[in-house]
Amino acid sequence: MNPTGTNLGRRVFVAGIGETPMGKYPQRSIQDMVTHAAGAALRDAGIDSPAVQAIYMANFGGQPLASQGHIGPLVSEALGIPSVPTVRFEAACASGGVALYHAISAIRSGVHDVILVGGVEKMTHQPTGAVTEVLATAMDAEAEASTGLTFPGAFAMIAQRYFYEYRSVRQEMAQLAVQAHDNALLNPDAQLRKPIDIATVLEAPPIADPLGLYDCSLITDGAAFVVLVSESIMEHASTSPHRRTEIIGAGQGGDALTLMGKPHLTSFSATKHAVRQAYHQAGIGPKDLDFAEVHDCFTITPIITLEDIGICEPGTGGDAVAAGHTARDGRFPINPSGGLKAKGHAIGATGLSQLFEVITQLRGDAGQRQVPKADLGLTHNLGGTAATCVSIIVKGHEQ
Amino acid sequence: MTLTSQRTTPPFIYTFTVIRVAPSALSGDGPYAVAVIADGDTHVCSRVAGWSEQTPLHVGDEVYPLSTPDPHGAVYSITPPQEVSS
Repeated sequence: MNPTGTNLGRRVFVAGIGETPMGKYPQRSIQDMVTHAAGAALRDAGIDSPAVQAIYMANFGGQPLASQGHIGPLVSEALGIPSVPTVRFEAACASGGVALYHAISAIRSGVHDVILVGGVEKMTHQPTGAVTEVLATAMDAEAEASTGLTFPGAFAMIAQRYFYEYRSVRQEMAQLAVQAHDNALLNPDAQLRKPIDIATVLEAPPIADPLGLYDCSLITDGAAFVVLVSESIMEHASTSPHRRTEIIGAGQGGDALTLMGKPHLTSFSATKHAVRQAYHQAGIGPKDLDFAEVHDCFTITPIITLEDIGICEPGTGGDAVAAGHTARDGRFPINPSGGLKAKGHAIGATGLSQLFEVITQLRGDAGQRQVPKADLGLTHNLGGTAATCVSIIVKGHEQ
Repeated sequence: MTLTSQRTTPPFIYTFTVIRVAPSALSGDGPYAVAVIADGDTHVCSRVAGWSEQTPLHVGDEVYPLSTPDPHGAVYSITPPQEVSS
């Protein structure tokens, strides 16, 4: 039973984490990246690969971008455990979150005790236009993509509507980009480790009005993995108690695939549904959280997310950013990793990469980018134009 | 009864953008305007004909359905039908 009395089944722990640096690695194969990241996660967990009972993989563009489907057996073969059951999850940019959500459910329900959950994407060997075209397949092909709408275009329309309903937060969006770059400077796994200033963001080449180049997340190669285990496994693991982290809430929400099918564009129902479940399971509210890794695919998104996850009132997300509350030393730090904006956005790996950072912070291993208080962290992973959302709440070791 | 006959307010721009970096298959089209149009009880995603750098769009602008889509797929225009040049 969880604190709210809901019977969630068994407790779920994150025993190990591993990832590749995020970046441009056009010569690096998917197999090489998953071997590196999965191996690191298993070593971190102190678990040998034969103990893995299932592999849940997240990948979005393997087939169109890298001519590679059937990612699950690719991973199991690379790890020398080809008989282990595998499955691939695809939910656009939320693929990683969805894989995690279902792995958590499988451990809670007793189906498995040890699941290796990973995500991988190989993108940068393709030209930007081709990647943009593949990413656009995550929206409605006939009703939206056929008009020439792109993902930056979709979130630009969300920003325009937000400006209309509340106020322009163009300056605060630029501030979020600067903040992401500042945090990424301190993250050895980040793709874009260079400082920028507000003027650079505002004067950058336009992509889709009002978004410019520095308002957009990156095209990234990379892989990230976590090892999820049941309590009985955790009790016998070599992980020292102060490094144990427990998943105490996990929610998945959905909404219409199309922008035009959503009831409103300045708030994402999928986020609200996901965090409502996660908060309920954890028996906490937004004010109990210490920090979050949120899905900053474009700089308007964290502003809306701050409102949707309950940190701010509707229309005030920009005020929180302007006041510095989301900075690493602020009241509610977001994306100490650098986020999708500067750490990188290897689509299938993103939900896992977010959890990697949350666990790193909860363990106190984040070095110079460590947030001051890290006992409860949240991940927020969006797919498509906010058609899918997974949110996970993780608790650090007992004080 | 059609949606058109139920319409009480003319179609208008619910939100919009100007795409400056197009997908590779449409790279010759850019820049172009795309909007979500509120048309009666429905919302429609469409390119918007008549947009230019000198004729910017705004949320709330009235738009007009085109009897036939323009060559780039727009089904709404910011100019009334009789003013749309061929």
